[in-house]
Amino acid sequence: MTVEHKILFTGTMGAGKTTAIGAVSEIPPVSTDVRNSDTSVAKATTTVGLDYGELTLDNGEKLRLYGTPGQMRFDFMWRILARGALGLVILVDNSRPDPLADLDIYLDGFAELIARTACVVAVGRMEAHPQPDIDAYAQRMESRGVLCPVLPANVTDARQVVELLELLLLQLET
Amino acid sequence: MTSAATPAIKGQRALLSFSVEGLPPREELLLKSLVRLLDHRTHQHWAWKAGQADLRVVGGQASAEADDPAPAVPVLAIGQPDPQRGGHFLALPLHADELENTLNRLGAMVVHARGLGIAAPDTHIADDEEFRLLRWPPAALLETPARVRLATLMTGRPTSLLLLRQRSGLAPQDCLDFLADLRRAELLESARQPAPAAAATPPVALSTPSAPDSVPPLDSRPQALARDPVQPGLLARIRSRLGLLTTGHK
Repeated sequence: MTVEHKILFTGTMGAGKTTAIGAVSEIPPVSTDVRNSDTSVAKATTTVGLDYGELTLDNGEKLRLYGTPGQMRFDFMWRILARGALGLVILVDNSRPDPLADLDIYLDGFAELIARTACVVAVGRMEAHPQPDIDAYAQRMESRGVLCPVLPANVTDARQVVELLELLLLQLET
Repeated sequence: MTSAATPAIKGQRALLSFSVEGLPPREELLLKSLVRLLDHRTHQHWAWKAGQADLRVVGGQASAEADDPAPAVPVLAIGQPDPQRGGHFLALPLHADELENTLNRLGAMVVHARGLGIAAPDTHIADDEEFRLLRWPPAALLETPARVRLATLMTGRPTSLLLLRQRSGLAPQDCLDFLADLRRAELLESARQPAPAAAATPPVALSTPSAPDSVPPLDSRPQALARDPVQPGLLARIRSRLGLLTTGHK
């Protein structure tokens, strides 16, 4: 039987989950995108199910990369996906109206996974939207009792996605 | 290593703190925001902290005379223009360029004072002394990828200098400097077990006892987590697949 491992990517609609997975997956990411009906977000399609990518390790085992649906109404899937996951990458879009509140949603929704595994928070679109800054995120996480890396990231750059995963792995070493 | 004679240095900049007393909330918020915005311009890195800091910023509602004066702590008064006022003073409304110049001038004073050994000395960091990181450090302390890795290694269980060196593979001085900077920024807490008589009281920060107001009670702070065990060799295989080298040699 093939041993499987998984890492989750979560975040709001448009935060870059599909892009991040596509940046490192060895297969084209499988997405269940549909036409976006949320007119507040300038995006033609969005993920209502999940994204999937994978990497084959040198012993044949699979590392599966899942992108969760972004909307809270699909939070029942978050719990399902979180089972057995190695860790979580939270992607935050700093151009949204209240990105700190967005972060809260995922810190709450994945609290158990974060507590027992590892988590990295990656904040996107900071060049055009520098506020809130990274320190504001760190303070927010501190106020919620969460301590994990938080840093700006552009997930269209595969190297940066790899760096996020490396920070996840570093935490799992502890 | 940071000592009284060698101020904490982040890159080429000293890490300094300022406290605020007696300013109207709006002005205090504006001041803190301006300091953050000016961070890429000021000669020192300034961070706000509650309690005793490297610089006291006082408004009209507070006395420039501290109740428990610290001789090496300069005071910056902020208020309405007053030609009779002496000392370090900034007039309201605050202007970024004036604030920048003043911070640079006072920062240089503080650094110079430390060089003369006037400020309180920092505590020595022993190899086996364990620390707990209280929160993710500000970006000013994480200028290099190596420092991001060091901070990441400290997000789990309490870590000593020795463990940090072993796990990061970085030079001992780099690890020591990072811990010293964290301690100076009051982001480290000793992980030593409290004595039974003191067990009911919160632990005291290493260098000074104050902490930001937003810090939650000790019980809600990140503690050493019992993380799920990971299959032996798995992390190395994932790193290999991602094209990453082993820890500390990335």
